[in-house]
Amino acid sequence: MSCTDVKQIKHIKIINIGLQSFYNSLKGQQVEVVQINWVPPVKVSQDLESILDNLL
Amino acid sequence: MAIDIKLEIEQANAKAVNSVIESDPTWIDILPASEIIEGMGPRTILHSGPPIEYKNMVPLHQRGMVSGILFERWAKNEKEAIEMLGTGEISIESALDHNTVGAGTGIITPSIMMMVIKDRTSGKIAATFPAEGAFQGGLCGWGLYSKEIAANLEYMRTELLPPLRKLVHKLGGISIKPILAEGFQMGDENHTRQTVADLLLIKKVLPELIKMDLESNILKNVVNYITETPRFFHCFGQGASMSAMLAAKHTEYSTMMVACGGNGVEYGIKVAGLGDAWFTAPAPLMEGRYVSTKYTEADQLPWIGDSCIVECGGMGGMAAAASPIVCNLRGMNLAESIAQTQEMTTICIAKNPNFAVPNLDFDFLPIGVDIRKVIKHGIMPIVHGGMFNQSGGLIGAGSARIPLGCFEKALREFGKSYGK
Repeated sequence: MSCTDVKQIKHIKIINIGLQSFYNSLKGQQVEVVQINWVPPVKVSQDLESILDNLL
Repeated sequence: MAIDIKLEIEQANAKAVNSVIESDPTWIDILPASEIIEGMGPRTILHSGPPIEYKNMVPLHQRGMVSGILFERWAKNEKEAIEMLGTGEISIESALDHNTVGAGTGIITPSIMMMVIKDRTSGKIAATFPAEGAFQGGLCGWGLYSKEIAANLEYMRTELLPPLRKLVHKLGGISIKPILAEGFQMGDENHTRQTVADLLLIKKVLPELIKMDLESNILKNVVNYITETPRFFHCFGQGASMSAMLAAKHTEYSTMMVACGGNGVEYGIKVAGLGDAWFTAPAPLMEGRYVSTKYTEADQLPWIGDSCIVECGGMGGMAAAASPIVCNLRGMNLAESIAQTQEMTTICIAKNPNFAVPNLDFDFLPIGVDIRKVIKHGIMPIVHGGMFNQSGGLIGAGSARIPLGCFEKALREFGKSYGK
C-alpha cells in the first residue's frame, strides 16, 4: 500500500504526536486523527533538578 | 517534627492563589502618590522594572527621571535636573517595591494623582496612575515632559479627577472584578485590549456624572476624558492585579509569582514565599506587529514596564483564549489563541472560577504562575504588551516570554531558603 494513498489512509485512525502541521494536513483530508502536543523533555540543570525533586 | 515540604508548598500555594481568586478589587479613591504610595519619600521618583541606578538606565528611563524632576519643579531646567541626579538627593526606586505599578516607563513622582484600588477581601491597597488623556502615556507611561504635559497633569488634578473622586466616594467604590469578568467574555484580555472594560466602566460612571449636576463645561470635559482616553480602564486592571498580589505576597512556602516587570535592561520577578527579593535576567524583546514597516527589531527597546502585573493576575497573555482578536494581530488564529491559554494553564497553580471564557467552552482562565512548573516544563509565561522605540514612543504590540533565568534564580533561592 502506498503511504500517499489517501483512500486507504482514511480507514486508519491516527494519533499524531508533535508537529501540528501533520495533524492539519490529515484533518484536511478527512482522516480520523487526534493531536498530542508532545515536546522533547526539558533539559534542566542538575542542581535545579535536585531542587525540583524535593519541592514538586 | 520533619516538615513535608511538598505539602507545605501545596498548602501555601492554595492560600496564595485563593487570596487572588477571592480578592474584591474596588476603585475607592483618587489621591496624590505621596499620600497613598507606602514608603514614598518626599524626593522620590519611581520607575518600572527591577531596581536600577540612574547611570545604568536606558535613555528612556533617564529622560523620565529628568521629566519627573522638572514636573515636580525640583530643578529649573534639564541641566540642573541631571546634576541633581548625580548628587544622590533624588531617591530612585522601583515602583513594584511599593504598592504601585510602573506601566511603561512608570515615572511616578509625589504629586502624580493616582487611582486607589482596594482589595476589600484582604484590605490591601494598590495605586496606579491613569492615562493622561490626549497625551496618552505622557509623563508617567512614556517619561516625557513638556509645558503642555505638565499643564495637562495639573488640569487632570484640578478639573477632571475631582468630580470622578466625588463620584467614587458617593457610590462607595466601583467593583473592578465584574467588569474584568464580563470583558473576558466579550473579547478583552485586559492587558493590550480592554475595549469592553472601558465601555462597561463608562456605563457605570456616566449616569452618575450626569446626576451630579456639574457645570456643563466640567461635565463635558470629564466625559471627554473618560470616553476619549484610549484604554482608560487599563490602570484599574493593573490595580486589581496588584492589590491581589499584595494580599498573596509574603505567603511562606508559596512558589507563586507575585510581581514581574522590566526596565529595558533587566526583567525581574518576585515570588510570594521569597519576600521582596528580585530575580532578574536580561530583558527580552517582544514578537509582534509594528505600527509601520519602517520599524524592525533593531528599533525595539527590550521589555520596559510593569503592566505585566496583570499577567500575574491571570490577564493578558494568560487570557489569550478570551481575546483571539489580540492574538490575531500577531498572526495567530483562534485555535492558537486557545492553545496559548492552555499552555499557560500547565504552569499555573489553579483556574480562576471568576473568569469563565466562551472560547474555552466556559472553562476558567489559569491563575498563579508556579515557578516550579515553569522550570519543570520549560514553559515561560507569555506577557502581552506594547513595544517601545529605543528613543521613546510606541512602535507596535505583541508578546514576550518572561526569561527562564528569572525562574532559575528564584528556584535556586527557594531551594536554599526552604530546602533544609
